Amino acid sequence: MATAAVTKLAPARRALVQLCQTRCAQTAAATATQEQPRYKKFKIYRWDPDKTGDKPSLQEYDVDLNKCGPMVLDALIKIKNEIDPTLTFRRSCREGICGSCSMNIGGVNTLACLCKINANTSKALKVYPLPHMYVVKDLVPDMSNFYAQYRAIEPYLKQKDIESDESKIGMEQNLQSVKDRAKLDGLYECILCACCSTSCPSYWWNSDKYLGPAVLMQAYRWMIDSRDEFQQERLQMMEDSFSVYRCHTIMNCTKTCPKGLNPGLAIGEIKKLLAQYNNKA
Amino acid sequence: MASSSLLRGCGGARQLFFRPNSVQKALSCHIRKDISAKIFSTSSSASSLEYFRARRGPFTPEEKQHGHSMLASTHWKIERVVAISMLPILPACIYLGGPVSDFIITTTVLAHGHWGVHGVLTDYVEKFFPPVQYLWYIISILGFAGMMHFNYNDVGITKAIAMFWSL
Repeated sequence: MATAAVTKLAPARRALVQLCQTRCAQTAAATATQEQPRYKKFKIYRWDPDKTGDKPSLQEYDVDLNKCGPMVLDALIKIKNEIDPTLTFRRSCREGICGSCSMNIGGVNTLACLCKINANTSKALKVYPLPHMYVVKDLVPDMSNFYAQYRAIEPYLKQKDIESDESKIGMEQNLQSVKDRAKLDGLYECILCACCSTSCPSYWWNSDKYLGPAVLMQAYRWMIDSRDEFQQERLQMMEDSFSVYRCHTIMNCTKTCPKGLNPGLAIGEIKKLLAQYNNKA
Repeated sequence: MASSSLLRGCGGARQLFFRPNSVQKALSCHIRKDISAKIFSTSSSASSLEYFRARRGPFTPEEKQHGHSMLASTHWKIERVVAISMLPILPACIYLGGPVSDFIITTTVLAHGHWGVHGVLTDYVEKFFPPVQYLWYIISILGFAGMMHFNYNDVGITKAIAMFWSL
């Protein structure tokens, strides 16, 4: 009985031994290539508000790519941990769902945690804060205007009977057909990292009055939600020459979106809704 | 800093939006001063140029409409209708000729051009030099008057284009 079990287990044991051997071989190969460090130069925007008269400048850091994770955020964290603890940037989830680490990397607005470091060590990688934003410190921009604009479009479900009688909140389920739910795909995924808004030239010049692609896409998301009953009012909110109509279909927003969404299309749809709705009512 | 700016954005903006204009102005000024004092080391000369500095929003719908009687969506619709209708109108008018065609070409082309440049001026210039739009209205009206003069007292625009091509 016992011998039978051993013979049954024999192939499994052989496989295990083989696996150990290949794993050891791989590790040996890896340590062999790690002999030569691959130093990549990072040029990072620095500005300290506490130093009076400090001018913004690019500071250079050398990071060994063999001892660093694959993404730009890994390199930034490594620099902060090991080289320069004064380097300041926002980060949280390190997997592209919080939208904190949005910055301008190699001339493109993107999330540092989703942006792979270019392995070409002969070229330096430039990292700037989001363009045309007021800088708080180093790579941290002031987002208060962006958040105020998001707040202004009332990004939450609004219903007429709840508006008049608040005791009805939570009394009934909001049912939605599969088809109506599908309309929200490609809109609800937005994490408000502001990469698109800060890549938009119209938003650069008129960020005080123009809402910008990120906020407009969320405005559209609530306009077309089948459970929301304030589409007319939401459209009327856009009824001026700046909120929407400063969009000239440049499409930088769609090109730069780290989540692969299409704010340019959403703004086009808002313009279509605005052309069709009854603006006399 | 992230949380403090979030709080500032949330605490200030919502109430600002639905308050009377004067209160809102005072409040937004206060907030702006607060921001600039905290974050920017602006020199004293900047305050005298307050008029030229880009104002930070948010703005009320009335402020953004700044005196336009027509709703923006209606205006946008008319602009698109004119632009799309120009596609058949231009070749048809040049083919047919005559005073009516002259008038239609003059009106559509000048209106289209006027709105195009008006948009550019709104984007880049109006914020720093608001009267620029009046200047542009005067130039457009003069241009239109000149074209009408050419249509009435000379060969007319369609004939002129035909003559130009026959050279």
